[in-house]
Amino acid sequence: MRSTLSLIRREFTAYFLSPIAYVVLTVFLLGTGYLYKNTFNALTTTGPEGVEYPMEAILGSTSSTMEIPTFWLVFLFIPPLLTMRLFAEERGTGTLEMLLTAPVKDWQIVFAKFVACFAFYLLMWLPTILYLPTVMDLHAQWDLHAWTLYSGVYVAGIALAALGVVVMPAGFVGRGFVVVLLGALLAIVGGWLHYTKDQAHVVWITAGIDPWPVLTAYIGIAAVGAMFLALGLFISSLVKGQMIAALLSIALGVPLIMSVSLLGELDPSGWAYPIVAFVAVPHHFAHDFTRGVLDTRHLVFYLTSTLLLLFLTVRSVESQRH
Amino acid sequence: MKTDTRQHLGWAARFRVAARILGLTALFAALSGLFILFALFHEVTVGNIRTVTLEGVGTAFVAALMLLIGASVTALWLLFELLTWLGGSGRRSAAGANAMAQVLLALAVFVGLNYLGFKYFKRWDMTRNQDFTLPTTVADDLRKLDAKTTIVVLKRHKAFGQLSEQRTVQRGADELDAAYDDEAERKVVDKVNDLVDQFRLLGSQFHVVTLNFGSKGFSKTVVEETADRPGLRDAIAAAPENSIFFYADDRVETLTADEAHRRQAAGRHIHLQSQPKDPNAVLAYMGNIPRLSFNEFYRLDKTASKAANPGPDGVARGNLVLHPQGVESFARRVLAIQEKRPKVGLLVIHEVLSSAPAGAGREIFTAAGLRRSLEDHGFDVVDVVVKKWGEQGGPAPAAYTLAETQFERLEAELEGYDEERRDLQDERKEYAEHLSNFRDMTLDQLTVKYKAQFRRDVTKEIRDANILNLSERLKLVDERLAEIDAERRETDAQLSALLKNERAFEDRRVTDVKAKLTRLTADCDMLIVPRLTVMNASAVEAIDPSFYKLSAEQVAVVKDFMKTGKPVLVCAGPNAERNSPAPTDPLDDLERLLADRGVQLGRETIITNAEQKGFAAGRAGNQLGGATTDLPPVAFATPDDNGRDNPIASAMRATAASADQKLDLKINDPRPVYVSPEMAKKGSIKPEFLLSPAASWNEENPMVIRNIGGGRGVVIPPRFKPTPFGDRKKGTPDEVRRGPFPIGVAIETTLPIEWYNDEAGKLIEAGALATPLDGGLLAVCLTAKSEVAKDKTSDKAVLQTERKKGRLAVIGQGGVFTGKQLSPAQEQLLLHTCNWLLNREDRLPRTDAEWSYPRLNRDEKQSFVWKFGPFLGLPMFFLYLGLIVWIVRRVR
Repeated sequence: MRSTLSLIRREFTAYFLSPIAYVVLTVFLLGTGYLYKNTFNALTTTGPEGVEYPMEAILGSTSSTMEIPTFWLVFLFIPPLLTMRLFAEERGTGTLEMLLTAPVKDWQIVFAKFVACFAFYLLMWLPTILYLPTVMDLHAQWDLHAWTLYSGVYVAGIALAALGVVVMPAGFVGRGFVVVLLGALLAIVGGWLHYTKDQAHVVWITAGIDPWPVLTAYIGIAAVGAMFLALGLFISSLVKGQMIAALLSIALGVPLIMSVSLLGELDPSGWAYPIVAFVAVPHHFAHDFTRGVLDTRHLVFYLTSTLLLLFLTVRSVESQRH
Repeated sequence: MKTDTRQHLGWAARFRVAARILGLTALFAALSGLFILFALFHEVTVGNIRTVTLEGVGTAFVAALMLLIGASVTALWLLFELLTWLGGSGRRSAAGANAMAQVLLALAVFVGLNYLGFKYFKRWDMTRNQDFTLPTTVADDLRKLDAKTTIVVLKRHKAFGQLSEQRTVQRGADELDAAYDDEAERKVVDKVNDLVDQFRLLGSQFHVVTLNFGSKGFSKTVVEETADRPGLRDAIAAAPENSIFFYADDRVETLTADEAHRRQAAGRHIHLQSQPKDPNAVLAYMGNIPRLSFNEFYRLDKTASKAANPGPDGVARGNLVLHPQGVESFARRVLAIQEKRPKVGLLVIHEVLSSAPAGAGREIFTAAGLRRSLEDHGFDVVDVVVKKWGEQGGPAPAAYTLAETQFERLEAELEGYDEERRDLQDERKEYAEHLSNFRDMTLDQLTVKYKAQFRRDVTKEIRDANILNLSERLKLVDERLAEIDAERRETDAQLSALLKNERAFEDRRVTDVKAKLTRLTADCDMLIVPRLTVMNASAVEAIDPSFYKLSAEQVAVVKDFMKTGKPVLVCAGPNAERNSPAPTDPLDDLERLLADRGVQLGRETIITNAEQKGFAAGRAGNQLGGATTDLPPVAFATPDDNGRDNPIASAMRATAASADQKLDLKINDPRPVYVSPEMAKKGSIKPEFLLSPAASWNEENPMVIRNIGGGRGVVIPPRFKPTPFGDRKKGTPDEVRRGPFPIGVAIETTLPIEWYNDEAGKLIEAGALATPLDGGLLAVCLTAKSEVAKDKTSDKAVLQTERKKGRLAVIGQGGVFTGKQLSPAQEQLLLHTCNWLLNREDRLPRTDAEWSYPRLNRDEKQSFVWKFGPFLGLPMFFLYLGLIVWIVRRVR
């Protein structure tokens, strides 16, 4: 366990020491920010137009010339950029042999790399919390006289989590991450007790727009991210060059994204439509996740794909030994 | 020294490489074949492949070969690879085979889990309002549906039928209005697709087609989608507005032409479509193609849309406001795809007043517009003429259909042709004989025969002139005979076609008016009884009310119709006649029947102040021709103090709000219609739905013409003279007063007990007599007694169960729905009234639920911060962090 944690810490820290992670973060936030801005405009526009589900507008809106949602065209490149170096770099620099001879099992290596990568992916989405006041139309009512023990724990937890986030780029990645987790835990417990036990509340938040579709969209994003990262990890375990790993991951991700453009051509009552719809990731989001629907078909597909790809990665790493 | 660094392969390895190249090539060939077949047939089935393979020529054949051979070679290659792995003896091969087995097992588990996950899945609708969850009852019903249904969503770019046309004519292209319509259309299409997706989850098979009228490819798509669906193209073409059609694909059958015509002749509602491939067969679809207007699914409320979303300055910025009409109305159309169209019987006293297409000069009498509007909206209309004209002593009670009168007319025409033909043939015979004489006889013989006629000897010139003359006459007679034959053939064909409708002639020989009227109205779901009397008081245009008197047996039929719980709409104008006030007695038993149900028709005619102009023009010399009067529109009643509303009035108000237009319904000279206070209290709805303008009064004698000699008359304008205090009319409905007056009422009541129990009337009368003495005790007891009936089997006293609830609407003007085409307001009133009467509340606009886009209320400063902060601020922050890391790493 200790060795697995060490591996996770090593991989996770590596992201913050590499400029590529910041480039990915910047590009990703520019892309989603642009879609967020359009959604904001739609939510404040005049006249009859608008958006019913803001997350659908961010993750599912298409341009007039392209049937594939803009977000997924950006997303297609993000997981390969995060995963391309995981094994390919090690193989390229010759450190893979060292890793394979270390007293860790193959699955531990794969698991650690995946968890680290997935954690960074989730962290990448963390800043989009700033979109929530808009996409949920949140309104806060403050009552600064409502301080209690629970509310104190709640606020302290949030402060701790924020501190953790701040110290991570300064080199304290592992510790920072632990602080974030601890802070989040405190905030959740304190917040829960504060809002269920206390009469008055420090802050009372109401949502003008249905918040559940936002939550389900984030659940979907986490699940689909796991699948694409597992795919990237598997490809990275097969090839030497990082660029080749990235390109191959993109190429294999294309059917999952672009197949959505076929749906318009198919008869929904035919046999081909359900199959294409089953694998067309943007369709899952435009149709379900961003509109507050959780469908086990999509979740099972993402989860089983992730597990299968991780298994294949383990097999691939194992084959390096021979 | 060895200089060649290339790897030398053995024969086995070379064979393996060749097998791999071949296998991969075969795989791509199979995929290419599949692609080409898909392009050619849009669907690749075993049957398709077998057919094209057997044909042996063409692109499809080549593609099928590529697919078959490619797939076979690929399978062989995979088998070869598998055997190679299994047959390998080295340690590495064994490990590889082991790994491959694990991978295959994992893949199998992956496929199996996903297959099970796909088949047995669960969806959680986590939205606040359960947007994607069907009501349990609807879901249960849909689960039973296993038929294949096609749903056609037609974007006609007309939101409200004729109301949309009016906008274009009156206001021109209003871009903002069009934007609201367009967005509403788009949203409704989204909602339809969402709903159908939910239906699909329940196992139903749906094929959804969206047709965008006027777009590129519209006609082509219509042709493709309607090629195997008889009746659908006509239904789409006839749609007056944005609509959704429901078509049961499983009900299309292939029939021989004879069988199809036999079924058609038997009166079955059947849509036929010829098959180009087989001229002897036709595609047939029996039944109904239900249509749902977009407004019956999601109703756009333009007024609310424009007033929505007020900004910080209080100025409305607009939003799309729709009123969901409930998924039930949509689901009901799918489930009730075999439901028959409601049939409306129109009881008219003359063909001119019927709903048949109107001839020139008859537009003001015809109900053709009523038929068109009702048929466009899913009703069937049948005319029943209740008077026989041309008899001695005025019109007599009768009951016959328009087909019968048409039949009689055609029969008379045929008779006329035959008579004319006989006369012409006699004439021809005569001419031919004379011509023969002039040609064959000598001049002397001709002189003997024709001297009396010519009064001189017949000369050669006379003979030649007569031959010429007679030849020309013969030619003319022959031409006319040929014309008659052609006309006769045409009439005969019309008659034969008419006779195919056996149902219309079943009762032709029945002479009993009651029996025949009962049969003609039996399959009607509702009746409309129009009485167009006063059309324009200022121009003294009116039809004598006495013409409309129904006989006692005809009223009995209407009563029996009501007793079955079926609804009736009576549009009865004032009973006013020229120069005499309306009689105090009811016109006939129909008015008494209405009184039994608590509806009292006022005696007077309601005159608006605006009509004074028309009367003035008449007085100024425009004899009997009042000037065009701009009448004020009638009003739709609002809820009463107890919050009771009238569903028809509410629907009209909602429609006006939806279209953001005033529904200007102008009704000439109606009569007041009252509901008895007891009945008004009993009902759950407010009875009144139409009110006359406030600037009006009730006039007893609206059409007075003073004789000024020389056979000339001048119209005396009525003047408002309120009933003085102390007059016995004061406080009664006959009191002359200012408006508004109720001119349209709708009630739903249990039918009077005396309609079912002959003794009940006497008991009630006895109770009423005793009321001053016992304070109504006997009346209560007798009423209770009359409510009880004797059970036929047990002989015990049981509650009257026969009594039904019935709906009735009465409008105080017979011309409210006349004209070649109804105005938008007339059409909406007609549809809402009929739908309410037929218990089709789901077709009435609902305004209780509201849907609109979510909007953020942010001022300019907040908007700037919340828009550009996350958009640019976040990436800039991480770019800054990245640069810091980069600089620090460079130093290290």
